[in-house]
Formats: sequence, C-alpha cells, structure tokens
Amino acid sequence: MKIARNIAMMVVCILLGIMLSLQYKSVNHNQKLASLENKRVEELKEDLINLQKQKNELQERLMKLEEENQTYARVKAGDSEAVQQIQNNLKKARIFAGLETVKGAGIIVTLDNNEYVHVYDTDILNVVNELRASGAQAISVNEERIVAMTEIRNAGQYVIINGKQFKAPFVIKAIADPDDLERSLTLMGGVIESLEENLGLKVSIKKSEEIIIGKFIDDGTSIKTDLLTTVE
Amino acid sequence: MDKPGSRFILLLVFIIFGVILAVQIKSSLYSKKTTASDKLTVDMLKAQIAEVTAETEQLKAAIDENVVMQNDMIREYISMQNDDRLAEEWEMIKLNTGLVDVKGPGITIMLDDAPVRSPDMPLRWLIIHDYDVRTILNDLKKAGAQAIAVNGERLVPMSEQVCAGPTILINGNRHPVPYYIEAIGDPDVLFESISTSSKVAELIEFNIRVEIKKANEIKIDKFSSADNLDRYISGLEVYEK
Repeated sequence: MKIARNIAMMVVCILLGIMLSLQYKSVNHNQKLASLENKRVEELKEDLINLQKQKNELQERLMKLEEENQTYARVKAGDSEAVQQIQNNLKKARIFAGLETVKGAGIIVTLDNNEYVHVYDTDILNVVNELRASGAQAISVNEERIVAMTEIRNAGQYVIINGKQFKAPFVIKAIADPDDLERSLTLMGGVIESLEENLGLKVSIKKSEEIIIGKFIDDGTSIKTDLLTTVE
Repeated sequence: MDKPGSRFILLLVFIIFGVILAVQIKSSLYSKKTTASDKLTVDMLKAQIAEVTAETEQLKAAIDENVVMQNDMIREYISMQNDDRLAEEWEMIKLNTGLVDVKGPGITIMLDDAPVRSPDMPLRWLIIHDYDVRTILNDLKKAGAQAIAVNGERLVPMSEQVCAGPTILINGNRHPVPYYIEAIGDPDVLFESISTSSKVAELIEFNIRVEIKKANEIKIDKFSSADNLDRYISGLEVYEK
C-alpha cells in the first residue's frame, strides 16, 4: 500500500516537472514572437514614412514642372514673361555647368609647400572633395573653375588642372555657408589636420562674405562631347 | 491516507499545478491576441506601402513626360532664335553636365572588396575606400572621359565621393560595394590608362577585385536631380563685371 502511494506521488512529481519546463519554453517563445512582430511593424512604419516623404517631393517637383510648361507654352505666342522664364532656366543650367562667373559667401583655403614636402594632386583633390561634400556650389583652384570632368594631376613640378599648369601655392575658393565649410574642413582628424599635422603643409583658411569665382573658360577644346549621343 | 506529511506535499503539488495552468493560459491568450493584431497592422502597412509605391511610380512617369515636353519647348525656343552658338552651347551643356541620358563608347570598371580575409594583411587594405574610387575617377578624367557614372550616379561638377560607414556617399546617396564605374570616352585610351594606373596595380596587389572591360555602347542616365537644379545653385549670384 505504502509502495503504491509513493510510486503515484513520484509520477505526479515527474509530470509536474515536465509541465514546468514545457511551460517555461512556451512562454519564452511567445514573448520572442511578439517582440519580433513588433520590430517588423516598426521597420514597415519607417519605410512608409520615407516613401511618403519621397512622394511629397515628387509631387512638388511635378507641380513646378507643370507650371513651367504652361508658361513655356506661351513662348510661341511671344509672351515676354514666358521668354524671360525660359531664359532664366537656360541661365540656371549655365550656372550649374560652371559657365557663369558667380559670387557668394564662402571660404578660401590656401595650400603651400614647406621646405621638404610639396603639395600633391591628391591633397588638392581631398580638399575639393571635402568642400563638395559640405555643400559647396562652386569651386575654383587658382582661378580654374572645377567642373564635372576637371582633372587634377601631377606633372613633374606642376599640378595640371583643366589642362593648365600650376605651381604652389594653391588657392582654393568655394561658395557655400562659410561656417559649414570651415567646420567640416577643420574637423578633428579631418582633411586640414591631416595635411597640416601629418604632411606638414602650410594651410590657411579664410572665411569671406563675398567670393567671386570665375567661369570655366571654354576655348572650344576643353569640354569635349563628341562621343556623347543623347538617348531619347 | 491520514499521514499529514504526504497531504502537505499533495497540496503543494496542486497549488503549483494551478499556477502553471493559469500562467500558460494567459501567455497563450496574450500571444494570440498580439500576433493577430500585429498581423493586421503588418498587412495594413504593406498595403499602404504598395499603394504609395504605385503613386510614386506614377509621379515619376508624369515628371519624365513633362521633362520631355519641356526639353522640346526649349529646343523649339532655341531654334526660333536662329542663334547657332546658343544652340551649340545648349547641346554641350546638356551632354556635359548630365541633364540628359547619354550613350557612347567607353569602358566599365567593377570594383569589389577582396573575397577572403588574409591573415598577413590588415582588413583595411582589403576593402575599397572612397579615395580609391576618387583616384580612379580622376584617372578617367585625365584620360579624357566625357561622361562618368558610379553605380548609376552621374558625376556632375559638385559630385562628392565620401566615406559613410561601410558605404560611399555619391550625389548625396549611399552606395555599398561593389562599385560599377561607367565612363564614355575613347575605349582604348581609357582602358590603357586605367589598366596600367598605379591605383589599379595597388588594388590588385591587395586582392581587391578589379574588372575592366571595353564596350561599344554604354548608356549613362542623367543626373538624378537634373530637373531640380535650384538647390545646387541657391547660394550663387551671377557676377557681371
């Protein structure tokens, strides 16, 4: 009698143990599932917000384009306002291409050799790239306007920019918010620090409220497009 | 049966049993409820995303249509002026600064990180950096490239290539490896100058994958903000002497 009771008790206890472990697993699993779903929802929400933003931008762009096109349609009729607008747009493209002399607030960076170290093409390229990344809208090096296909390369003692030879010092001008430009150039471990500290070049930065950057001088051979065909 | 010890044990067992039952029921109920409601939101969000995506596609198509219309009207205006210089210059600007899609002969370059870690080289030598891409682009410009794109981003005057974590930022958009550089120009000259450049030799030394191919026709898309130049020139004022 006593033995049977003990066995029954043991069976009950074993069952209880198994249930306990199953229970633990199941609760854990349920919780994980719930948090996973939650994360997915967050991700999807973020995607949706980004898409909506993109959509709004596109909508704005389309509205502007349609408005412009309505104005342009009046050009044929000789509407002077429409002609004005079309000329404005042509001018904008010329400014973007670097074919207009422009002025604005900006920064002037000067790079010069020291006794032992010379300024290399890569040093100039690094500064120019950093200026572009911080929002520069026009850049020139020694008055040579930097355009899309401008190369900057060493050739012996010289650095060649837009096919013309230059020697140090290199005066780099850029138009954009002067504080933004200065901040990103003088960042700790940034471009200027590495040029000054690691290479020992002479570097100076000057902010200015009015910088004039000359247009790209096209002598007919410097911008070549003979191999390009428009795709309609 | 009347032994107090075993009764006590039985009591304890049934209490635990009851608690387990209650917790289990609650947990399963909760999980069913949340997954059901989350499933609903997930489905809803997905439907919304699909809807907005379709709308943006429509908008893009409408924008493209309007751009074509605008270009036609500009062309018409220019031809009305009977000014050959103006017409020529406008053609040049469109092609050179990426305002239109262009095609022509050239080369393609594929760059990808080294396939495996190498025990005797630090990791930073085995991956492609922004300055590697920059040097190759500068080499292409030196060799007379007339239009260049990196991962579909047309290079314009103020195109930057800066490192942003594991990606490179080009025209304000992030791009991870591999990098596909397309350049239109004289294929032989471009191929020769890139394949013999010191940068490519250096990359190959570190097992970085570099594939250079000549092509008879490369198509390069226009600058992604070609119809929205204002923000790129907002701080510039034309200076007339």
